[in-house]
Amino acid sequence: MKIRSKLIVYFLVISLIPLIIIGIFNYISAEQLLKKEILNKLENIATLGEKNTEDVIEENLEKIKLISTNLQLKIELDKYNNNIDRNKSQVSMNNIINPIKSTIKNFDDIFILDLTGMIVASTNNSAIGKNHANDKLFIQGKKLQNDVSIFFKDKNNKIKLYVGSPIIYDGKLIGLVTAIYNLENLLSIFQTYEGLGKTGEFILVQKNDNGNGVLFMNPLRFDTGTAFNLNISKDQINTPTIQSLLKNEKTFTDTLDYRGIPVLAVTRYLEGIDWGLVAKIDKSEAFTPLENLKYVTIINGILVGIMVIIASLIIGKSISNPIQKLMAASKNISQGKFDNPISNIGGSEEIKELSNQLDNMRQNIHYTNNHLNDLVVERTQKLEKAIVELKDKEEALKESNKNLLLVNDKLSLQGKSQMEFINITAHELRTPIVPIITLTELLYSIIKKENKTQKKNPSKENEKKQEFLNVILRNCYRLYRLTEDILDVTKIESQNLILNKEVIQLNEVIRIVVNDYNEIKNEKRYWSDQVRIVYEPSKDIILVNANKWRLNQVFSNLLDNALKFTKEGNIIIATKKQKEDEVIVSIKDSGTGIDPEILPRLFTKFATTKTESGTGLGLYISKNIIEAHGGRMWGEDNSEGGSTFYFTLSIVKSDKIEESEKRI
Amino acid sequence: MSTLKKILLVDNEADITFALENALEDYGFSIDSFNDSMLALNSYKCNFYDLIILDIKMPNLDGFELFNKIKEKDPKVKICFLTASELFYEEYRKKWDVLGEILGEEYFIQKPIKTADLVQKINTLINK
Repeated sequence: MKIRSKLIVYFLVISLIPLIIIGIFNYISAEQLLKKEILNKLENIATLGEKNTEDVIEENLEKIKLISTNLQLKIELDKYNNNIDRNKSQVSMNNIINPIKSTIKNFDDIFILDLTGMIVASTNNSAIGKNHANDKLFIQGKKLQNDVSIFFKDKNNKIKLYVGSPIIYDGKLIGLVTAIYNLENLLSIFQTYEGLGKTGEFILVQKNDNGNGVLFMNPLRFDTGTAFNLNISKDQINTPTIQSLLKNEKTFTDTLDYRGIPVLAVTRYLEGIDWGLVAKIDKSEAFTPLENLKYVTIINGILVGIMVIIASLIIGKSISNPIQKLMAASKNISQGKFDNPISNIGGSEEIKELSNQLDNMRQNIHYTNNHLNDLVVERTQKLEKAIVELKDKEEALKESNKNLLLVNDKLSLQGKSQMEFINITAHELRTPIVPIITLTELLYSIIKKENKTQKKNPSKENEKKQEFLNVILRNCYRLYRLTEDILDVTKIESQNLILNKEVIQLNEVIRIVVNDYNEIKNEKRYWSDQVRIVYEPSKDIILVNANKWRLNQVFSNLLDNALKFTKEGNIIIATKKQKEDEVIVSIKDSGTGIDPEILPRLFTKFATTKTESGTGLGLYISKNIIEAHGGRMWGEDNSEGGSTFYFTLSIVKSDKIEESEKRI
Repeated sequence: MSTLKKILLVDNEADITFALENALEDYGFSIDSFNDSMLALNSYKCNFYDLIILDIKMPNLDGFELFNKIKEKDPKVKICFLTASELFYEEYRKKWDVLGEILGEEYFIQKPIKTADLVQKINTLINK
C-alpha cells in the first residue's frame, strides 16, 4: 500500500468515527426531544379537543335543561298527564318549545315525551303522537332520571346528538325532554386539523354496545365514510391505542393506525360522554425534522470525508514526492550511476536531511569506487608480476625436480645393487655350507656308530670327537639357517616373496609340525626336558588359503622362540575361530617374557636380545609372511609370566571349495 | 716351560667357549670359561689370571661393565676383548674412553680368528 492510500484510510478512519458517533448521539437525543415535543403538542391538542367536546355537550345539556326545568312546561305536561284538556296543553307546550328552538341554533327538533314514551309535543308536528317507548334514550332517561345523550346517524348520514333530560315536577318524574342536536359544528372542530400538520387528525371513538369493541365516531381525514361505520372489535385490534382506549387510559404510544401506517398517538378518555379521543400524527411527518437532521449529518460526513481525502492527498504527495525522488536517486546509485547529485528533493526537514546524507553516501561510494578501480589496477599489475615470478620459480622447481628424480633413480639403483649383492652373497655362502654339513653329518654318524659298538668302553677321545662334531653341526645348521633367512629378507624387501597358495586344513598342518617337534625332542635335545608342547586345536575344521611351506616356517620360528626362552612348563598352541571369517593362532609360553625395551621393535630386523642365539630375523620374516597372507601378527607379555604370540589368517568357507581341492 | 698360564674366558655363547677352551688347552693354557658374566666376576675374585678374555655383547653385565668391575679391583690386570664386529669396537671405544685409558687395537680380537693367530696374540698380551 502506498503512503498516499494509507494516509487516506487513516485520516478517514480518524475523522469519520467521531463524526459518526456524534451523529448517532445527536440523532438519538433529537429523536427523544422531538418525541417529547410531539407528545406535548398532541397532548395539548387532545386536551383542547376534549375541552371543546365537553363544552359542546355541556352547553347542549344546559340548554335542554332550560326546557326540562321550565315550570310552565311542567304544568302543561302535568295537565296533559292528568287528562285536563290535552289539546290545549299540547298547544301551549308547543308554544313554549318553538320559541326556544328558534333561540338555540343547533337544535333540529325538540320533543316532549310522556311517561309512556309518547311524543306529546314537538317542534316537528309530524312527530307528535309517535311512541318512543323503546327508544334507548327514553329508557335510559326514564331509568336514570338524569341527563342522557346518544349519538346517531340520520337518514342523510349526518351525525346527530340525541340528548334527553327528565322533567320532574313536584318531586315526580312526569316526562322527558329530548332534542336532536346537529353535530356538524362539533365535528367541524375535529376536522380543522389545526396544528396537526398534513397527516395529523383526531379520532373519536365510542365503545360498542356490548363493550368489546370501538366505533369510530367522526369522519376520518383519510376515510370520511368511517363515522359510525368502522367498527373494530376487540379481537381484531390489538393495538395499544385501542387497548388503552378500551381501558379508559390516558397514553402516549408509538403504533400503527387504522391504515397500517406508523404514527405517534395520544389517547384521552372523555368521561362525561364515555368517549375515547385519539390525537395522532404520522410518524414520518412528525420525524421530518429528524430525517432532515439525518441528511444533514450524512452530507456533513461526506463533505468531511472529501475534505479529508483531498487533505491527505496533498499531504501524501508532499511526503511521497520526495521519497520517490530519493528512490530514483538511490536506484541510480545501486546501478552504479554516481554522477547525478541528489538535490532539490524538497519536503520536510527530515527528508532534506535524509537526502543530504544520501548525497554524502553517493559521493563517498563514488570516491571509493574510483579509488577501488585504481587499487584493482595496481593490484592486478602486482599480481601479474607475481604470476610471472611464480612461473619462473615453477620452471626452476621443475628443473630441480628432474634432478631429484635422477638422484632418486641413482639411489634406488644403488639400493637395488646392494640388495642384489646381499642376495648373491647369501647364495654363495650356501655353496660351501653344503659339503661342510654333508660331510660333518657323515663323520658324526661314523663316530656315533663306533661309540655304539664300543658301548661298554668308548674311548674318551672318541666321546670328545662326537661332542665336537655335534657342536660343529649345530653351528653349521645355524649358518645355513642364517643364509636362508637373509635370502627371505631380500625377497621381502624387494617385494619378491612369491606365495603359491593352496587351500589347507590349518589344524592338521600345525598338528604335523607339533608332532615333528615332539619326535626330534629326544634326539636333538636342544630344549629342556621340563617343557611340554600342548596343542589345543579348535573343534571345527578350519580351511585357509596359504603357502603350506611358508606357514610351517612361521610356525617353526614361533615355536623355536618359545622353546628357546622356556626352561620349564607348558607351551600351549591353540587355534580359535575369532570371527566367522578369521582364525587366530596363539603360541603361549611360560618363559622369560619379552624385554620391554625390545617390545616396540619386536618385529624388526635384528631386534633380538643378547641372550639368544637366533639369527634375529625370524620374527621379521614371520610377520611379513603372515601379512603377505593378509593376516596380522603381534606379541604380548602374559600377566602370569611368559609371552604369547598371535597371528591371524582368513578362513575359506568350505562350501566354496570343491572336495578335490581340499588337501592337508 | 714355566707354569701354566691361567686365562679367564667369558662369552655368552657356549659353543664358542667350548671350542676355544678345547683349542687353547691343547696349546697349554689353563682355561676357566664362563657363559655368564656374573659367574665370571665371582671366579675372578677367587682366582688369579694371567689374562682375561671378554666378549663384549653379553646379557646382564656386558664386556665393558665387567672390565670396569675388574679394573676397580686390580688396575694392572690384563684384559682383552673378543668381538664379532669392528663396528662395535669403534662404537664402544668412543663411548668408553672414560675408562681413563684408550685401549689400543691390539686389545681387540676380531671373531672369527684362526687358533694359531689367537695363541700368538694371547702370548704377546701376557708378555707385555
